[in-house]
Amino acid sequence: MTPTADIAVIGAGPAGLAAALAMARRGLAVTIVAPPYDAARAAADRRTTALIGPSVDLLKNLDAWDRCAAEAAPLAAVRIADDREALVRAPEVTFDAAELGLESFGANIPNPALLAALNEAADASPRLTRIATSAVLAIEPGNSDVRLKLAEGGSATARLAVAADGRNSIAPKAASVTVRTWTYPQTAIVTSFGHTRPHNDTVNELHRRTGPLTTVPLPGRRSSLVWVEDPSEAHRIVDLTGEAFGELLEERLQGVLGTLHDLGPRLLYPLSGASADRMGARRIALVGEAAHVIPPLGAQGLNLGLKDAAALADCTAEAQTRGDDIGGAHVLAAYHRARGADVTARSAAIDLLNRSLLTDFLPLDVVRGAAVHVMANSPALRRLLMRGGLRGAGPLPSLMRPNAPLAGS
Amino acid sequence: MTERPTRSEATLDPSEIDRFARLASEWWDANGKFRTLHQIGPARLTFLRDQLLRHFGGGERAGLRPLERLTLLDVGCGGGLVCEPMARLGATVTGIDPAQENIEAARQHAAGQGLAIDYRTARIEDLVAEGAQFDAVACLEVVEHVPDVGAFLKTCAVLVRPGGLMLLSTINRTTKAYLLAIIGAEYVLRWLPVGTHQWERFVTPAELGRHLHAAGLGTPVLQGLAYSPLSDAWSLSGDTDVNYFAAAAKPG
Repeated sequence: MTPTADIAVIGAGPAGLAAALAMARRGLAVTIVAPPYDAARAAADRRTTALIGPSVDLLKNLDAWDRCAAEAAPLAAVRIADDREALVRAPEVTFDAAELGLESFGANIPNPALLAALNEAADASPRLTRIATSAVLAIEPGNSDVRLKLAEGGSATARLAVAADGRNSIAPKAASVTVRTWTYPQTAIVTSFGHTRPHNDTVNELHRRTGPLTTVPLPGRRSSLVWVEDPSEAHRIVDLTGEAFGELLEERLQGVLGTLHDLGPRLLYPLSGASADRMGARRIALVGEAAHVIPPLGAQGLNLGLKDAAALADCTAEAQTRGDDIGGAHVLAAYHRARGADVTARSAAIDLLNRSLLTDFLPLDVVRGAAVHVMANSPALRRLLMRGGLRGAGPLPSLMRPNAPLAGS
Repeated sequence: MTERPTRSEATLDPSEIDRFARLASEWWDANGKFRTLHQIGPARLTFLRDQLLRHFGGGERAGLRPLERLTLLDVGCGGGLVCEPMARLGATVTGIDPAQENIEAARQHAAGQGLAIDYRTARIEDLVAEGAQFDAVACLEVVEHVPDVGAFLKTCAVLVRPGGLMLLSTINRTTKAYLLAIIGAEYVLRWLPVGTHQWERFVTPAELGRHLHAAGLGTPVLQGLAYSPLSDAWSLSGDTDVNYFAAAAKPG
């Protein structure tokens, strides 16, 4: 009857590891239930993650940042340009971290480096254990604990199950939470490339009718690319020879990064979205893409998941402090209050940003052009928008504050 | 004032007991009839923990069981919504309720949580007769349901050991409380079953202070409980106009 741990985290991607580390850091006994870490397999992930400032602060507080800092590139500015053939074009606008008195908005880091750093921190954490399983087949919430049935035949129990196993998680169904899903008529081409001109730590976001094309700095004269296109065009572009692809990209970038070389492998990611109507129920909390999937725009995807992780650590630690059931209704209600509004607002904003570029509807063009025009010319509004982009709604979770004093570390 | 009451009629209203007994099985449904009690739970538990640690010390023992070594009586414990967290924090907890159904529900739930709590179908007079005393006695959301608050608090005070602490929560008798707790919570929002509260039984902080003084307890520390409609959450506040908590020490 004794639970395996206070908390069982399902999934060992960045969001799951961060959630496990954050809760362990706040004094809870956590076990990670996931396939074992395979560095070689992780290295196959070509994507990078743009982490905003509070996410970097979280990694620092979890002792994971030092291990990946060398592979991260600072993001000091974001340049947004309109590259559409519309009647009303939005002017170019640059968001500069210096305007907020910050050195950078955050950092861009290859996913394998991030995952390696989080795994090392997890191995070093005294309150964190692991249960290796190829899959969790069922999650069964009970009155006093929740049972995870493992593919190998065994089971694990905990007061609270934290599902951080991505968009195909079985957890929302087990928690009786409804997930709304949708698709976009768009596919993202993801790769990285070298370039002859320096990127000056600046993100380039070119908004085009078929979707944004974003370059994000990597260390040195190298950048990662997320290029959103309509699916047939995306397939055509990916099948081009390396030389032809390089020329096309160079042309799209209008020489901003000079001549391109050393193109990495190109991968396709169809865009889709998902949003759970509750962040958790019935002893199951949803973290990261198990709760919300948004297109890869404006550096929000994993940052939302990391904020979920830090907020859930606050909710469970506070419950433990007042003697409450850490998997009970109070905790899940507080977690939903802490994250539900932010997730909904950001998902809607990103969704709108994306959809507004898809339409030929002129009034929306005018509105968007006017909005970007105001941003370009109003430093105060721009600062407000940047702060909102970095912090999101509501107070920052304690582990996302710089140098957070940590209970029970 | 009268002698210390020992007869139950002075402190219990049979119709009140029956009404709660019917609801006993719903105690632990966070979205059921006791949703409001679940909602105020975090703030309520924070007040109890903070006051107990402030009075008895031990805040420096910031471990997981800071109330270890304290005995606590929860009067009108219902389904055990307060007993269980206090037991998790290490306190040796006794929960009494006059309704057998409540006690049965509480026992069943605590067993499922692996918590040892002494639940008894009893009245405060029964414990007085036994000569029992506790480090702390909690009477939460109870005072507004008893017919004679003064007599009830006098009996409760007997159960607090010298140097111990009495913890209370109740509703103020203000127009605002009438509007929010009865019209709002019972009739409009339907948070509570209609008939849960009778306004004339609500107690002002000044009246509570006088009753506590008459019962031989010190001046209470007061704290309010505020509801934020925007976040649909309750938190501790300085505003005692509607719901409020009190902690009063018994001289050692």
